[in-house]
Amino acid sequence: MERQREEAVVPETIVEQFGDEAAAAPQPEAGDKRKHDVTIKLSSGADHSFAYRGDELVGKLLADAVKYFGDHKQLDPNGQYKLVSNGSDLNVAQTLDQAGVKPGDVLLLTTQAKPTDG
Amino acid sequence: MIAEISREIVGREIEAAHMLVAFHDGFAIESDVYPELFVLAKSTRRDAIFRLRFDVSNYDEEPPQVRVVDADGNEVASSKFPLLNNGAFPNHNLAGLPHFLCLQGVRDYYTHENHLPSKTGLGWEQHRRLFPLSVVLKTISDKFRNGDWH
Repeated sequence: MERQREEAVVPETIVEQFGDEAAAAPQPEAGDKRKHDVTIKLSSGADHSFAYRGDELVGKLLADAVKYFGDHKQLDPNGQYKLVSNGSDLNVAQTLDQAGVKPGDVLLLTTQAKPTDG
Repeated sequence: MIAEISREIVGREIEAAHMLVAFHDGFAIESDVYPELFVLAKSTRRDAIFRLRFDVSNYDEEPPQVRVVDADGNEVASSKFPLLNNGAFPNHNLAGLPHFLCLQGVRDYYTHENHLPSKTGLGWEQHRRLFPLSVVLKTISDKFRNGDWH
């Protein structure tokens, strides 16, 4: 059976995966509807404040942050990244509320890659 | 690279390593005076604590050099070197080291005969953004914590 064209399209970057508002539509029935600020920081020291609702996906915030810092030439927007809070990687499929992100939190945006040994 | 800029970059990376919770009871900074960072790494499988010296001079134009040293700062003998999954860490003939912490993002990795950029096409320039010092510290911390390095 011929597979649908959509199934062959694999998102290459977090911006492609979550950057589309429609693809990351918030769940309307749950979560905090108020806007709050979180600060996202790079290990290089650069940081920026983003206003988000608690019912929006971590992936959407990550995509927006990668786009922002990419546009400002502070990271390669084609790289693979993650958001880290208190040492824990945030799940891109969870909402900020579900991930336990609180207003005023400072999140680290860092590479997903891990160096290998041996 | 100007030392002051390198020192600033290293400071930010160490701050990011704190955010990654790289440091804890079993992996703690002993001293941090640029260009040397000393970290104590506790084995979770043996009764041993290793002293790691991170030479971060010229970071991030160059990757950090990470060596296992004794209390006097001398590189330790084979018998005092950590183990890699119950085996020995590889040697580094070109550097004259019987063992070395063979890890991407670490200076000695790129001078090892198996990983020379002239052979692999992958050098620090290709890894610098992927494996910054904060990620290297977190990775080494995790390897000691989960017992891969012990």
